[in-house]
Amino acid sequence: MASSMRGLTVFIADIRNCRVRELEEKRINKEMANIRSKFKDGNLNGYQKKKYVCKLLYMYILGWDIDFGHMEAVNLISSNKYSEKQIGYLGVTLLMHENSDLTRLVINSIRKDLDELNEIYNCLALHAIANIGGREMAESLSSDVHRLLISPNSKSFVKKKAALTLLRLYRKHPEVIPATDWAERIIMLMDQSDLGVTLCAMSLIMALAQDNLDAYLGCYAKAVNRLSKIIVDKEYPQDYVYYKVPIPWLQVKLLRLLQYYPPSDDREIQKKLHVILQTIINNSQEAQKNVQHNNAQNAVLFEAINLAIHLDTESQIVNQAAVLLGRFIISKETNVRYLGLETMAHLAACVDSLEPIKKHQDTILLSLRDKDISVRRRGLDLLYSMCDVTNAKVIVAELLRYLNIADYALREEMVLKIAILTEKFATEYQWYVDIMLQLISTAGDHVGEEVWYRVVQIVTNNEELQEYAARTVFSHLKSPSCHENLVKVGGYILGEFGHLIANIPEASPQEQFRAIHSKFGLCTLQTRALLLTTYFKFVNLFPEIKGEILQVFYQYRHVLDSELQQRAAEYVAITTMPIDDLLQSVCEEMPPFPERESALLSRLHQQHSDTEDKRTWIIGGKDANKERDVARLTLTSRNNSMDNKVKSETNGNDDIDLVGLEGLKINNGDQLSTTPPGSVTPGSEKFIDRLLFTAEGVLYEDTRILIGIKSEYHGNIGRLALYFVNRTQTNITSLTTAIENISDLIITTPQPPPSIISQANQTQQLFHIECKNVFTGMPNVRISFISGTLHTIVLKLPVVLSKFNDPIQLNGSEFFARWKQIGAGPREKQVVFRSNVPINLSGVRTIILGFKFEILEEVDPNPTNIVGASVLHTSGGGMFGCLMRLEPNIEAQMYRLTVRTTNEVVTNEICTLLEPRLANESI
Amino acid sequence: MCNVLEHGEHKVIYKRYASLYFAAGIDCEENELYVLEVIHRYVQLLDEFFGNVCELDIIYNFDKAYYVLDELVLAGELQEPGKKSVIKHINAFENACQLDIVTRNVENSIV
Repeated sequence: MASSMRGLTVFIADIRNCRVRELEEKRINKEMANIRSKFKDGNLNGYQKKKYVCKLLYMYILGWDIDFGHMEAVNLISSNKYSEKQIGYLGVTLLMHENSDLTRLVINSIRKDLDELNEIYNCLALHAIANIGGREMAESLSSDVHRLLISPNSKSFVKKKAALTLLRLYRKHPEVIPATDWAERIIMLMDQSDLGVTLCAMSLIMALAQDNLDAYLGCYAKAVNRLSKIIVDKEYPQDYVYYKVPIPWLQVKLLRLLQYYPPSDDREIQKKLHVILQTIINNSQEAQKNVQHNNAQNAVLFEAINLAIHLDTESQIVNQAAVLLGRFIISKETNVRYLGLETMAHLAACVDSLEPIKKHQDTILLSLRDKDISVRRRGLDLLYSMCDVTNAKVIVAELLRYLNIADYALREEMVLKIAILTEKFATEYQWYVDIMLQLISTAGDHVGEEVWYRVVQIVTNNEELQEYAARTVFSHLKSPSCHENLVKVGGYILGEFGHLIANIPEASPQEQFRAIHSKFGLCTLQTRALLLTTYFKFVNLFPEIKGEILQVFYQYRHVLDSELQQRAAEYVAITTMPIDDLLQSVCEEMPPFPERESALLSRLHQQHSDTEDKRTWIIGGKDANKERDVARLTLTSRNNSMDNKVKSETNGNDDIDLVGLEGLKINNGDQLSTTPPGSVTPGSEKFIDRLLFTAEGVLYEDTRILIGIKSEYHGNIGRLALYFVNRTQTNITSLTTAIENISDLIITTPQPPPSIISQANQTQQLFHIECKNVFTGMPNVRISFISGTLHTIVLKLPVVLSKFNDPIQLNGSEFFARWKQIGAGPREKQVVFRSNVPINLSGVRTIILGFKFEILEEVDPNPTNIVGASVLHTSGGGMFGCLMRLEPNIEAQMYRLTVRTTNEVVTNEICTLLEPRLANESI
Repeated sequence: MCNVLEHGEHKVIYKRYASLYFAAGIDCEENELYVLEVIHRYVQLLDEFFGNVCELDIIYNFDKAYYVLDELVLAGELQEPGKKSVIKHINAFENACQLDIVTRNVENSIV
């Protein structure tokens, strides 16, 4: 296929014929001069401009600097010919970077193309934003991009580009994107039938969800269901099968997303995930002959293993995965060995027991000698992660041996890791000192400052170490070749602890001084300064060699370096004072260093930039990962407490006083189609009261949708069905429900609702409920759907404590025996209140029965009084007896309600539930 | 050899096709094989678009190689996993270009 521009083709051919660089440069300069003059003359038509910009671009990608032609590219963007516009955009994206001042010039043209009805133009504009994406573009164009993403009129190929463009803007400038406000609308995109759109939405959601876990929680269940459809139900269009693997890229994204969230408590979701992961592992038992098939299969498999490790390191699936990994690390395929080691390091970083990994220790040690450097690196990381007290000596020894032949690029990191492992798993002081000094002497220049600082810190803080350290460092100093770092350690340690070995004849003060001083001349100024201080300490420790040392000080009072000169002068002044007081107090033994995070670790875990995909684990053992999780959790909980604050502000004190629900002020009732988290949709409160003591009814209705509920309870278990009736003449799509759970009440759903309700039709969703222990209040359900635009409804679900009551029949004496047994005090509550409706005794009895109390006849001598009994069932907290007595005063329209139960919280909650309903409901 | 080359905080995923190397730089967290197969998909698309693609096709039509890439990958993420769908759009854009050329030829002949 020849280019449509002859001039360009000829130019490229010319360049290709240049056999030497000089000729190419000559040809380039000639062409640049030519283009420059053409541009200067002006009067070029679109085709000519396009051709010259193209030539410039070709030079650019060959690596030549292009400092003109930007304006011509900008002009081409506004051309009405597609081919010219396309080159204009290509020029702009190649020649401009995000901070270029020139991007300002293209923003308006881009906006115009975003507004065009012609989708092809939309696409070019989106490409430009996604490829350049500076701050100014983010600020002025992100809402236009968002509009294209969610507009029902956008074609799916535009949606895909809009999603990824938004992703790029978010990664670069997260503050410009209102990630939380857009959450529901963006999550809905996961329901798209076009898998391309789903994939792009997933990429976007992954970035947004990492920073806004709560707001994007809805994506979790959707991701699980989508995976289940692809992997278990095998539902996907044939065009999306890549070498026999269905849409591997989407699978990988979905599996990765689930790793950003803590494992779900929902049993249905857990079950589904188990089936998904098991199916993936089963499918991957055989290696495939075709490279692409194998890669696609493994891409999914490794992501699945990472997810399995994240969900539960002790699960059966992780065990199976460990076996597979053991096979992978001896595979003939380099990629498979590499990924096997990488994933095994993830496993080692998370599991409780390293035993399954230690089985492969020899293989892993051998991987340090693999022919491929990437594999060697992974081997190093894995050894670091799998190291513990039992194998530290073997691993550290092997790493030290390997250090001598390791790639230069690896050495510094290796030194750090060896130092950390040695410190962490040392059980004998001698071993620690030996290894560290050996490390410092063999690794030489690759030893960072942190490493020798740390040795000094540890020795100073551990008295038992000091003598041995002094002895060993002294013998190192006596060897003819001794690295400067070792001289530093030696200088410091002998200065502090040299006196501990001074009785040994061959380590006499004089010998110590001479051993150090023989290296003095070869050291850098910085080290010499340190050694002068050592000598100064020697004067204090060993007055007998003062004369020899003073010689050095005198000599150094005259050196050019001001630091050395100053030290020497000061030390001379102090040591030649008539009394030793000052010398002694200056040279007092160093106090132990304060405990702080090892500088080694902080060096190793350097911060990543903010919006790139976060690691779901870090290299290192379980402890390192635990610490990291704690840090992450404090971060999330900070967000949560913010959230709660918002909740309590909007909702008042709803869990203390349910009557408050009636007068609930919802942000002055403006017609927002989304509801902030924590508050319920206006107009829904009026339905809830009656549902607390009935099993079915209407939960919510408006002009678009009617939501009904049916429920049944047996002991601590219940089932509940929500009915959604579409009242409009169009389809309702993307129906999604999410329960905002409260503690000790578990609500799960075996199946999400069908996402579409056709016009004037209805659909239902089933929930399973389990009462684990006493709880208060009721959970919210958040329902969102698209009917024209996005609507979100938040409703209270009438699942309250009394639903788990079962009425029991008692005779008078049984009742009073229990009544007395509970007694007054905190387990009794009595309230006197006025009824807002006339008291109708049969209605009152219906309400009491609805709250699951058996009404006990002929127990109370006064026939208008109502006495009731029931038992509350919980799966974790056992059963609680509940007794009540209601004394209505019909004339005065007053009630006195007394509740006694075997638990204080239950007493309060029953009272809180009964009182407002008795006061306000007339049946 | 391993198709992954670690480079500081980043990785380079590369693959050789005849005399051409295709390489992608990624964060160390990304799924390596995922990216490797994106590269393969790109090569497949070039092959389909140019018809048995060779080095010269890409050199002389470097702009087209960019357009094909823009249809497959945007903001560093795979845009469309289905091959047919990408080909359809590339061809639509190509036709829009060809239409321009025809228009220009007509304009020229009138002048």
